[in-house]
Amino acid sequence: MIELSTVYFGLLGIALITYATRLSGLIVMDFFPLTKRMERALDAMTGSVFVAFVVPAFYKGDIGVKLATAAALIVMFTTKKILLALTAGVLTAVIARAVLG
Amino acid sequence: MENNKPTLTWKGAVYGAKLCGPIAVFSLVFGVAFGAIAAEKGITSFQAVMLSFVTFAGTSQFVAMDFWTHPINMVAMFMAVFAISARHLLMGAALYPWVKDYPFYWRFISAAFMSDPNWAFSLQEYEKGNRDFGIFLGGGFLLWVPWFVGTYLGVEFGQLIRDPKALGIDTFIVTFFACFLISLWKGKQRSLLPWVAAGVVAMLGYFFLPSGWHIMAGGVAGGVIGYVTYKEESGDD
Repeated sequence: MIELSTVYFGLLGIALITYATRLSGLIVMDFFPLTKRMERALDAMTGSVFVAFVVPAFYKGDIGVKLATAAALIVMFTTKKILLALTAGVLTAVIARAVLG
Repeated sequence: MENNKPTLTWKGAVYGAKLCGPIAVFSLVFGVAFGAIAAEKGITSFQAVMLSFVTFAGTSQFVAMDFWTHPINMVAMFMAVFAISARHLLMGAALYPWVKDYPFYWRFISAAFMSDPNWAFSLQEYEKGNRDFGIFLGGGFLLWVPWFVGTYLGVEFGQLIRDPKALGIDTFIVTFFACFLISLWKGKQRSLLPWVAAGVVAMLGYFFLPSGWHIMAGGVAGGVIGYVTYKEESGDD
């Protein structure tokens, strides 16, 4: 069991950090308007953060995670429907683990 | 071109809600998924619903759950939340021309309702010359309610599940982020090098850095590459 004070500290931190990032863009612009170059850098960072999460998670994941990710990406590429893609992913994981796990 | 001064009307809010209507279903489904994962991590329905109610951010809540183990590595979790949320800075900056003519406290309200779909619709409307900020707020509200309602349903449902792994619930975060990536692709010139750098640095970080730092490391690496490779007047907008 995680201690209750720790749980609330963690939850509050998640909420505050997220809120701060949302507020920052609306306020920072008063003082430093973003240059085109800075904007591009932040934009590149946005995708990069997700890549940085997905690649190691895929690597360390079991066969269920690996096949689920592959299936979801294939469906996403072909249909562009995210709910369908995620459903395919979860179903693939269920089947893969039942059969191979 | 009609009136170009920013306004806020009930009509605009209803219009914004209408634009986001179909996506509200997604919000509910993702809320359920989040609740189920939170339940698996031992978070109570009150705690999970409060988190969704206050935070209202799919990506940052999901990434946090990935770090929610016993004991929690708070620094790593907060860094991951920050990294994954950092894109909001850009979203806020894009919204800035709209909010700058309002009283300052408006920005605090706007920040609370900032999510990807209503933000994207609002910018589209802004491009068309529609300056009714109700579009943003109405859309945000319609996405927010199913998000925390879904969370509640998800926790209640999740607590009934004996073996979350057999149901593949733990695979949801990585598959969701992988699919979300596709919508972030900005073409070869702008995305390829930063993403490759991010993947390589993240793997190195995964092996050699303290747990959890690889996300920030990969993100920063991609950002630096984006900064360095930016060419003025490249006309690739």
